[in-house]
Amino acid sequence: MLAEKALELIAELQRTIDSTLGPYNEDTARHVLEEMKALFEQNQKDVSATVAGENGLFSGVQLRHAALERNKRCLLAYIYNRLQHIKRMRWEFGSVLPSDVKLNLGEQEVQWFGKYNKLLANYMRSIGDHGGLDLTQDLKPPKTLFIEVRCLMDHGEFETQDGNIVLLKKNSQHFLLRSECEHLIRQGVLEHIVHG
Amino acid sequence: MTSESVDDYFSISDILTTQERLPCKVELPIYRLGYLDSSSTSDDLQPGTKLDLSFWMARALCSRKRHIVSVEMPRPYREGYREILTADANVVDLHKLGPYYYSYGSQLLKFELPETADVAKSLIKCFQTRIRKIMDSSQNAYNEDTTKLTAKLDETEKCLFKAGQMGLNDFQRWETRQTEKLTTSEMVRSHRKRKRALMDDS
Amino acid sequence: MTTKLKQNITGAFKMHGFTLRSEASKYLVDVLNLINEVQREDCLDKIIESVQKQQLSSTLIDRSVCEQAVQECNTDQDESDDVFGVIDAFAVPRFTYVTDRKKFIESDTVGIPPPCLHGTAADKNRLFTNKYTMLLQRTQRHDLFTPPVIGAQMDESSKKFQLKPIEYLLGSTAKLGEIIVLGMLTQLKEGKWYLEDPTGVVQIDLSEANFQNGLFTENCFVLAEGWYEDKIFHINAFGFPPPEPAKTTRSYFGNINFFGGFGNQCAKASSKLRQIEQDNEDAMFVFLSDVWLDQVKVMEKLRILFAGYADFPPTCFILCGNFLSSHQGSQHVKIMKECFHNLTELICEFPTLVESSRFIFVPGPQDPGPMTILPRPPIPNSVTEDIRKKIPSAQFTSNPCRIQYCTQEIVVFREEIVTKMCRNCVKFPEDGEVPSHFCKTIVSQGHLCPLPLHVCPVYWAYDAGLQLYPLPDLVVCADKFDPFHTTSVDCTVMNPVSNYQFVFMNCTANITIRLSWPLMDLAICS
Repeated sequence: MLAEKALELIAELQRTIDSTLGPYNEDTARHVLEEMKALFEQNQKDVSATVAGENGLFSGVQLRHAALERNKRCLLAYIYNRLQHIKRMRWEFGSVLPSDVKLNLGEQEVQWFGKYNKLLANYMRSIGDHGGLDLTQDLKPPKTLFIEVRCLMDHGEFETQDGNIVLLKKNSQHFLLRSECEHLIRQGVLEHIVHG
Repeated sequence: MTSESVDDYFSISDILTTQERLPCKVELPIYRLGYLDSSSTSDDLQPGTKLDLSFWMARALCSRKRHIVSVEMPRPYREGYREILTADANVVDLHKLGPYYYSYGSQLLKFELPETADVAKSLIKCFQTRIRKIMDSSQNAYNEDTTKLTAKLDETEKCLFKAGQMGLNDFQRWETRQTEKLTTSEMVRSHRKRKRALMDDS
Repeated sequence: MTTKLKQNITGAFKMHGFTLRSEASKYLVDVLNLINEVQREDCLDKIIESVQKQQLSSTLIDRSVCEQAVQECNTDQDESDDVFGVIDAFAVPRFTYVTDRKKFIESDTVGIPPPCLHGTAADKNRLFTNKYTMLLQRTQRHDLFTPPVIGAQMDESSKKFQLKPIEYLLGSTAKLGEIIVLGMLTQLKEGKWYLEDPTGVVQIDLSEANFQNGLFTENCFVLAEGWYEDKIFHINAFGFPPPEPAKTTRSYFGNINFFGGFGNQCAKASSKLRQIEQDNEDAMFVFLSDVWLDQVKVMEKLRILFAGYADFPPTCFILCGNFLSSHQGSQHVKIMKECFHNLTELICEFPTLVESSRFIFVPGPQDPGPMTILPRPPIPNSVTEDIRKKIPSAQFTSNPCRIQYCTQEIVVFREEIVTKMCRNCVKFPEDGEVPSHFCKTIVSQGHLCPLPLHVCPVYWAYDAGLQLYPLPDLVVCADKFDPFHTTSVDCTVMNPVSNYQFVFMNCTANITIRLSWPLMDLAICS
């Protein structure tokens, strides 16, 4: 059936969209492009034959054109949905991706991630007063200025804004400025302790 | 729900919906595309050939303007099934009838077949009957396995169910004052889990 | 003042999602304090940008990363170093093809231990599997083997094939016709040929085989077409896996720097380097092989050669060994030292050359150093101390070695490889066109030395230094064989004449080799 390979890409997306991103399927994408090329060439042939006076080729042209459009849609959707996922990764993982996640990205996707990163940073620096406004922070409304955290892994020295140095060692507990340690919690380095 | 709208162009579920097949009959000869019909060896698709085509292809070949193929309603939307749905929609396994029963059904309305009005009515009626139960179960299943509850739901209903569950969970977390707790982001957590699973394997 | 600056810095890094370690922020404050306030902002941006370019494993930035970034910013304009680079075979980046991801990934990242001279059994295993996976992915991608596109017109010329693993043959009891297998040619038992791939081994019958162009040696990888019955694979036709132009390879794998040298990006991608190359069309490389420094005649000719070039210093002289005409026993090193001393004095007579040309020395099989195992390390420093001191641009490198000039990639290999391959091939080509057969062989094998390890031993873990993938622009095989140069799939393979004769080569934007003989009279001297 036509456009079947392209559908494979979409099915693959659907399988992996809720977990981590799968490797960019370059081979299949190329195969789809190959199919599109074949369809396009045949259509061109038929159209020129019709111009030359042959009849009844229109229905075939119509069918192939539909398949071309379908292939195009699947390819674009594949790329678009992956980009959305990568964008989300910037907000969840932070600006540096774990190496095994990064290896799953295609060359251009890595570049895109870098550019998105830069755009976001430049935008965040341009808004708010002195030094910008970090939009990735306070995704939940803050209740207190300081919070208690426990280290889940060794992270080394951490310098707070007032110049104190805290050693983040596994299983140690600290009382830190919420704005400073929020991203570490999101990256799974620290755990927020709530006394309820 | 129109498939041509910009929002849906990149939508995965919309692409999968329009991949569903429906019975078609070829009305005009289609040259050199005989390989689409696996049951014949002829080079061309002859008028009168019956075959199943994907919705997206059928839609391109059958509209008010052109009539290269004629289409029929797929079986789950025909009279017989409609009667079953009227009898008691709650017990029907919609997932089996087509994982995208509603969205595919509303796409099919575009063909303007004689049964269109009935199908539309049946879809709405069916949805109305079932939504009560879905909402009910999604709001009351807290901390339990939901696979049994969602097994018979079509994809649209599953989304609704998920939304209901999320609302319920968020509410419970708010009530127990858990919302203020900062947590590890979802992606980081699932990534860690996978990594740990890999390490356990090796 | 300082605290404000510090806040500024940490704030800017934070917006990019980075956290600075305390010593890193202190360092940056020190650096930026030296710069006036107006430019500070720009500088900070630049530093962050170069931090982002580095391979980071965590958002926590420490001092060394910052230092590197600052250094990079300082040397931003000065890229002269990148124009020319010599890459030792032991320093070549090692990549492993990961089938799941369809990508080449640095071997360290995949968890392969760093190479050591005397490798483990796993290293030997990888030597073969790496070659196989590289060729397999390349072959599967070739037009002949990609699955047919539906809807495309099928005609005879675009017939498609399917590769089968050897497993597939071994598992079948019936007769199988028209099978194509990619495997390694081996001789497990005396006189009997086998085809081997990671899934198994099968005995082959070569009596009917039709050989395509190339030198089919033991341990080279072949595409074999034929029929299988009763545990024997009867070969109809034998060919090499189709080569792939470097351009195609790069379109699949992006601009990874396979070649080695500066940066993570390959030189081909740099428009700056391309510009430099185009502005400098007269760049010239002189390749000399078997420069027997102990022969008076050679020294005389070298003098004429240097004198001729003194007014137009070429980019680089590449001198290949052996540097002595015969083995001198225990006196070898001493004589060699003297010879190099004489050479140094000779070169120093031409200050223009010392100043603007580079001298690269590639050791030959008989030069001091370990036995004839490839890759061969450079001639020991103790022998070459003198020359390196007096001629700063002289560089002693390994055999084989890689040279990057602007966007051009050159591989130099000093070995009697053509002869060795002719001697070890299954069937010597009847037409006697050895150069073209040889060129086709190494280009399709993607390897400089497709010979069994007992004929041409290789340090297992350092096999990457012998690989030719993606194909470089020029491969110089300095061999005793007659001079030749042939080109296939954008890769030129050439052999300069040996035995103290000289070959000159012009290397311009699109590598036009001119085997010009401006000093013809001195070339014919032996």
